[in-house]
Amino acid sequence: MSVQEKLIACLVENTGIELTESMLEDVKVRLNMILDLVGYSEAGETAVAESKVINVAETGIDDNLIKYLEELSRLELTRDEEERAKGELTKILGYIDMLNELDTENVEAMSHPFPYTNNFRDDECKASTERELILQNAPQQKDGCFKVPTTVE
Amino acid sequence: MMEFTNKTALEIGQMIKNKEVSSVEVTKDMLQNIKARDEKVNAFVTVFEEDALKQAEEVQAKIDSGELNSPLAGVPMGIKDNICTKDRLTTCGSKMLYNFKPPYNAAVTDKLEKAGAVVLGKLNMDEFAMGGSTETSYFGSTGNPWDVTRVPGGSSGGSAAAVAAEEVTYALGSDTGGSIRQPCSFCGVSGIKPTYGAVSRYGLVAFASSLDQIGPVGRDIKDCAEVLSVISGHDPKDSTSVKRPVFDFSSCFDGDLKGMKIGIPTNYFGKGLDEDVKKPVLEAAETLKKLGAEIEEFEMNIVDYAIPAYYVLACAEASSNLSRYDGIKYGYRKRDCEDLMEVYLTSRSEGFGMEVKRRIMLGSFVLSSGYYDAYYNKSLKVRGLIKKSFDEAFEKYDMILSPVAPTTAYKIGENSSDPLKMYLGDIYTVSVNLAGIPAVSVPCGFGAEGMPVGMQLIGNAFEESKLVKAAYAFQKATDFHTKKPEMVKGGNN
Repeated sequence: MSVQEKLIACLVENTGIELTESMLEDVKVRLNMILDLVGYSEAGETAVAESKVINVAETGIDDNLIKYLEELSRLELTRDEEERAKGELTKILGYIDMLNELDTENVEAMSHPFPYTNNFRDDECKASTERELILQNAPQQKDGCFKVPTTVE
Repeated sequence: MMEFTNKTALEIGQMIKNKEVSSVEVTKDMLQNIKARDEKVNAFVTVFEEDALKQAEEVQAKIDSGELNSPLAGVPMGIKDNICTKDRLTTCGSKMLYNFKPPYNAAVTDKLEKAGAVVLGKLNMDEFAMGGSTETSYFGSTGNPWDVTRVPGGSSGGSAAAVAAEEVTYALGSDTGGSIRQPCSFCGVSGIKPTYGAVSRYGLVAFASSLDQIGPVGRDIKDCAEVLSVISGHDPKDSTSVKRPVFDFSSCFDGDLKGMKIGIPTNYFGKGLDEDVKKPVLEAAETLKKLGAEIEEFEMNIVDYAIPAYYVLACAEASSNLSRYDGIKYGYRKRDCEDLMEVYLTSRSEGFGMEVKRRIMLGSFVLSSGYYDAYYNKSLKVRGLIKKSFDEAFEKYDMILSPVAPTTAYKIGENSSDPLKMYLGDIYTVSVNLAGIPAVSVPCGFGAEGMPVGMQLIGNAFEESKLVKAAYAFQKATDFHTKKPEMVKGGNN
């Protein structure tokens, strides 16, 4: 399944809305625009995933992987920083590998200290934060919106 | 002069009530201390001089009219710079938020200000709370008031240093892996890392959401307990804050530990622990015994795996939380970018420091496809094992006694080039955050070079009262928490 298909399936499941053929086309176009906007490339993702070696701690973090991590993190490192990060991350991951000494076969994953379920507020209508307050920290704004460089020609 | 600034928050609060001194006078004295000492200590990122004086006047008027009678009313304090203060700078120690003025108060800021706190300013910290020495702050490192060439610990280094240097009476810090307890140990002050969910995280800039908690730093445990009772309680704006009554510590101050069982995990005292720290902590165990507690050694081997599990989980959550810094909504933005991707890349690359970048990348790695199970999921399971072994320990003991950090405060720059070595310093603190349980750090002695040493008492979830009771009894019987660094003893001359 492509990411686009996964997103649509997820949308349908969560909203319960049946999409007509024309709606589906429209959603696809919009999704592609968003994926483009965030710089997502399915081919790139697959290529890197395939080139991965499972035991990184042993082989170390190579140039491909560090580039991939920069891409995932939306960061650009200088050549020097990359070299440093490669060494440091390899060392840290080597240390983290000690977790493999533990048998966790029948242990439940604990994402949170205590079980919380649906800790909702009462469903009351309230005014949200004012637009001006939200915008007051924006590096650039225009007409009551956040301003960004041209994204769609 | 300066006869008030060495008092505890509760003592100052009482003096203000008795009209022996006004909130404005104490605030002025504190501001004086900041002016005289902070050039060396650099505990503050921002001082709210005018705002604080205005606040002190307003609070004093409310005290005089009888509208305010909280024990902390009129007492000046400081807030770690990752806790939002409405319309007042909140930088998180980062270039990324160098100009950020939140449009709202954190829940804890609101609660304290309602109780009459006077906010002197915002305290330095490791960038986005990522570090244990306050050296990663964009606004320069903080010096330890006991020896300004040494680190104050971190990430709440500014909070602990400001209390030790008497630049504030008490402070708020945050603790994700030891960030309240370790600086308290390094600076000779007291602190509490509350149970996860005891204090609202609304308005705390998120680092690792399942581990972060806000807590107090103070001159003694009684001050810390008072602050905690003000800031705790359910908040509808934080769905992880737990619905239970606010803490009431009033029955904790009898100094008697009869019937209390304290466990000492032997593997916390093995290889890697400095003799400088080991000796005072074991002596503290003897003191607790004399006060009536029953002390017993036990094994807790699983905690050896806490650091790797912690760094996987904390970095994973951080990589997700810090994705919000895109150069668009607030904070640092690189000018004149051609397209949106360039805004993201350059704003983030120039706005974040190296430690933050490293952690975001490590987090992205452990969450990426192909590695998720081997690292992230594995660590969640280890977290389960750690919680289980604490549960078992608390079936036998009321609390656990351990060191806070393996060493006393080290020299600025000594460890900063080796991230892994820095991470290993968190060995005694991170498991507490993984398990979501409370712990206190209180002074228990000094190392060979005269630097303070703290001990840690770890309790079961929501059993802060037991910890406060034990720490109070210890402080009643000892005077380590009343010792002052030279810079404070000498006044401002």
